[in-house]
Amino acid sequence: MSDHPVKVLIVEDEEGLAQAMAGLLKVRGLDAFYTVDGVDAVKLFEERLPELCVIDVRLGFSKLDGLEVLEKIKKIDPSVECIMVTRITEKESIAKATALGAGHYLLKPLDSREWRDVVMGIAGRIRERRDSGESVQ
Amino acid sequence: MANPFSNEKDLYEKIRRENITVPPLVWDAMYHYLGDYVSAISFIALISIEKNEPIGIEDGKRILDYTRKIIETVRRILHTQDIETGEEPAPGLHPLIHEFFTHHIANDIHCINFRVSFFLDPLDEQAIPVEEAAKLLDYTVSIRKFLDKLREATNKEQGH
Repeated sequence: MSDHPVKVLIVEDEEGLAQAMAGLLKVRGLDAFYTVDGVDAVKLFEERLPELCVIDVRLGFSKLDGLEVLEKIKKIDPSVECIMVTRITEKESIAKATALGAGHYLLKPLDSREWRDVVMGIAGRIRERRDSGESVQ
Repeated sequence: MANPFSNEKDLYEKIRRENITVPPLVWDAMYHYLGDYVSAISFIALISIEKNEPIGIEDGKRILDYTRKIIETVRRILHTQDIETGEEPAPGLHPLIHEFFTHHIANDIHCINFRVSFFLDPLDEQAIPVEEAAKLLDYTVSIRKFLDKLREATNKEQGH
């Protein structure tokens, strides 16, 4: 049984929010880390190979937006679980993210309890798959 | 949480019946700024609850900063400023929508601001107790629910 914590990359351009998201997951025992920039996100992904990514679609002044980050990391590891964070006003992004392989999306303003439950649910399934020796789809 | 207007149900009905919409740019700005800041307050409050520890003074200051930014953003979105006449509702924004945004969002944000300010009195700064964190979290949920409800009532191709 692999008991190392699930690694979670958070890509969110509002640093205070990114910090708080990672803080909440650390309280829950996950190995969470974050970046506010899309280009850094891809680098960080390659270096640390997280099993789960939470990506804001709109990344301020970053050279890569959240959808481009999703596309690049899915090419590196198609099995990575991705949750996209978007706004209801960005309906096209939701469709694009789904087409690019994001399994989940959440809407801002986020309800932190709902966000926690979704992330912890996916982290739990990742652990189960690890334990059963299945490859993560 | 901001108390609903006594005739709030009727007002939502009026919005639906009269096809009152919110300009897309107003929605965009609301979701963009409120999205980040309200979410951040929600997470800071939940961490306190999960750890069963008060919100630290630094995080409390961060919440105050977010509330100030939200108040300023809402003010800019909802008003055009005129030196002679003072603030007027932004053109194109139905007075009822203006009233709803002001009442529900501004009141809830001011409540968060007052509650946190109480503990961050410069003469006697204190961490914010867990019970207060739970209330702050409720305010953020209330804002989200209001946005969902208003969006549902105004959700037409022209106005979303």
